[in-house]
Amino acid sequence: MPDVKLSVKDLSVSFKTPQGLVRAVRDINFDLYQKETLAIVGESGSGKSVTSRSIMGILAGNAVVDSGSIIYEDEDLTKIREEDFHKLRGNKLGMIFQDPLSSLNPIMKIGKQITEGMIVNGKHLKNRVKAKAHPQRRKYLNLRDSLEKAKAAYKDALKEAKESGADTAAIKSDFLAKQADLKPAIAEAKAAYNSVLKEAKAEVDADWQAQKAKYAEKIKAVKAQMASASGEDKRGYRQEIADLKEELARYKQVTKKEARERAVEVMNEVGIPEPERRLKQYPFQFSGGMRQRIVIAIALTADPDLLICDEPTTALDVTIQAQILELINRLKEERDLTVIFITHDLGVVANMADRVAVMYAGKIVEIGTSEEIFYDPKHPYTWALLSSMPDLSSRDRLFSIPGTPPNMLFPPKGDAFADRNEYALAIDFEQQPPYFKISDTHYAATWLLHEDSPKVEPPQVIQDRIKAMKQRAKDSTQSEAR
Amino acid sequence: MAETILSVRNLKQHFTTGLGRNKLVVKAVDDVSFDIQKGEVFGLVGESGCGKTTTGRTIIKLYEPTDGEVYFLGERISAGTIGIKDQIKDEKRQAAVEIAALKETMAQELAGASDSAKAGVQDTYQAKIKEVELKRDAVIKTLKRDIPKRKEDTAQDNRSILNKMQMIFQDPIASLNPRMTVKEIIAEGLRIAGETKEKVISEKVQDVLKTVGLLPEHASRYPHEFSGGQRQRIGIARALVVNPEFIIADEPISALDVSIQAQVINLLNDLRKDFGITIMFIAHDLSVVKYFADRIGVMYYGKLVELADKDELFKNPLHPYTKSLLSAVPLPDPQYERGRQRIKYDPTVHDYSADLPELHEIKKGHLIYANQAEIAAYKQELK
Repeated sequence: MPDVKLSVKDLSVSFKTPQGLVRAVRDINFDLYQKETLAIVGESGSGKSVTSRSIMGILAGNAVVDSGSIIYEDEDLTKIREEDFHKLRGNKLGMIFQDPLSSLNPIMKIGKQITEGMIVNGKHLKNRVKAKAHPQRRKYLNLRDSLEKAKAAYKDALKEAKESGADTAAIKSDFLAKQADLKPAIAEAKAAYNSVLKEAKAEVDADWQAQKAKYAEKIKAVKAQMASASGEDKRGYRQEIADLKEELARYKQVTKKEARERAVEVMNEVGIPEPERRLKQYPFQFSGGMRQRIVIAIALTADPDLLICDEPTTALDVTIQAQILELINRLKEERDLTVIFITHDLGVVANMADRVAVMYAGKIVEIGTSEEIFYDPKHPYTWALLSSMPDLSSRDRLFSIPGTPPNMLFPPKGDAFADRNEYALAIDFEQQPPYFKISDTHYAATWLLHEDSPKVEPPQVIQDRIKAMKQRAKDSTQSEAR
Repeated sequence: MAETILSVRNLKQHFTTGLGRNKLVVKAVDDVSFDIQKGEVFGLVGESGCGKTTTGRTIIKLYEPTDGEVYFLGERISAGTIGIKDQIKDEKRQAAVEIAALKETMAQELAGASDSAKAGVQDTYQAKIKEVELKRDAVIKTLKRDIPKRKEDTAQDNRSILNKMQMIFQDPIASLNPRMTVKEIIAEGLRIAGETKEKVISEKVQDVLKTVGLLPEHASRYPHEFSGGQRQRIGIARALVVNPEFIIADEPISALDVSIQAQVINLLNDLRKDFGITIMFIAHDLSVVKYFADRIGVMYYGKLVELADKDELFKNPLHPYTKSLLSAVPLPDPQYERGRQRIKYDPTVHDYSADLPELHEIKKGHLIYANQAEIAAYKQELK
């Protein structure tokens, strides 16, 4: 089994609205393995974008993470501070958005939009200082957080005690003891942090001064040579001095020149012709497919190792879609990326995914490898999704899912899909189904898999289609054997 | 043989931008011809920007065509005049060339002739020139006579015919006026068609709402109160209320969610069966077009490159662009997807420098845009 890259545990996200809490994501669990592509499919409003946005930490202001955790490199992304998130977002976690027109700034040249992130994140000296003091800073901030939490818990307990008329003295003394414990520890941690920070600063500064001196000497030497040279030669020396200066600047930070060189490289990589000329153009001068390539290029400049694609091809037509999918697959191979791919097009899923998670009303109703989901679907919602899409051989009336998704202001008690499901059992309206294991990688949340439930076969359309697909696979292997 | 309901002849739609040196002509639709039979669903596919929407909009007269004609129910409903103007220009140019040639030969003969013969030569040549001029004027006159006729045919007052043609738009959110109730939206077409009795209008609106699967009480609501699929149903109801015979559906499902797409396609399928409505279905999702349409036309940069029955097209795609388009369709089958080879289309494979391409019928009902050399190659391929 490959390593787990990212692990989402019991995640619930709600949105505060004037009408009440909208439960967008409810207790979802999944692991993302190294170098795989996980596709998340579902109707709009099923919570697939909210899931990806909570991984990126870019939920809307009224969103609340009710419970659960997202573990990435031993850190819980739902808990870490915004400043710490800056280091991950963009750098390690890249994201490609749905609409390439609205995710680019219309009045900013492409070159600037691609290099912006590199320049902002490229203060090498500052970054070094920060990295050196990072463990101490974490320790200090964690201690401070725990004190704040203790305070909040104490206030709540006090309120409760007052309401019930219980004795508050014990709670108070308890809290005071805790506070007395924590305060010196915090002070100590802060002092440690400050001293390390000072040290790191001094060290980095000394290094910088040394570099500066080194380069000053070099430049001086060149200047001395230049003084004795004449005419044509002088130009060469001047260039040499400029190069040296640039080299020194690059030691300190990502310079504009460096960023532009890197942008041209990335644009070549994503297949934008004539990148030097294109850098100076505005988004409206690009076609839809090219715009999506730019969005991908921006995500790639920071060398992410996890890429979240939120419906990257929904706004594009078939030919361009095929190109973009090929591009993402190629980049995944070249850069060993792990990809989360969000879409509602099952054809695209079959093309991209190693594993598929089907979401409905904020829950993952079925998860498995793409073979398992397409050849052996178990959940009625997966059946409905598969049969509502015509494929190239379908002729009968299409199956359409009756009704509308439930209002997540009032999440249903039982299975959220029960109302629209012709296979619903009585228990579906009463109780939420647990995950039933079909194989090591395949799980589905439907009571139909319970041993006491009646045996139900998937609809005829799906059976026919699976048969046709198996036949096609057989034919192709036979023709290959020949 | 079914009766032809719509016939498009050499339709051209060119858009010009800029002036003088910066003038740029975009040939959105360039010389497109096809017929649509009564009761069929005609699918039009192609990538974005290939002119399929423009074709639809020109047919329903949202644009004036640059050139070419559209016949609907046997009557010419729109005709461009640019073509005639070009013909007149050509005629004038030709006549000028002829006259110049005559004048030149006359000058040569005059130089060689004796003084007494000069007058005679001059007279004969003057007569010849006069003849050319008269012929030219006659041709131009007949051509010019056609212009007002074309303009008249193109006029918008032919309501009784034009009402038989309706359109369903792509985006159900943008195409419904948010400040009108559903009833007002649907009734607008009826009122324009001249219906004034409030009772009749109400009745018709109620009927059409039931037909598209909405409830009569929905009539007093506003578009924002509906879901995406329901809004598209309103769009369809608005088209249906005037009893059309022909509907142009411009990507009616592209903006909808998967589960709702099936609802709308099923509804359109029912309408076609129950009312015998002919549909021109514009889309870029090939699996949907394959499911829904009877014949499919493939467009590429303003040209219709291939037109065939759907099974024929998917079985024997001939034009390289059609092949590339078909190879790009993703199917919900992981094994197939892993082995799928996408064919890239390179427009430079065609050599049209000497032998100009045309739309040829290579097999019964299978038309392809190619030149003679290519036709021979395609025929070989078909065998």
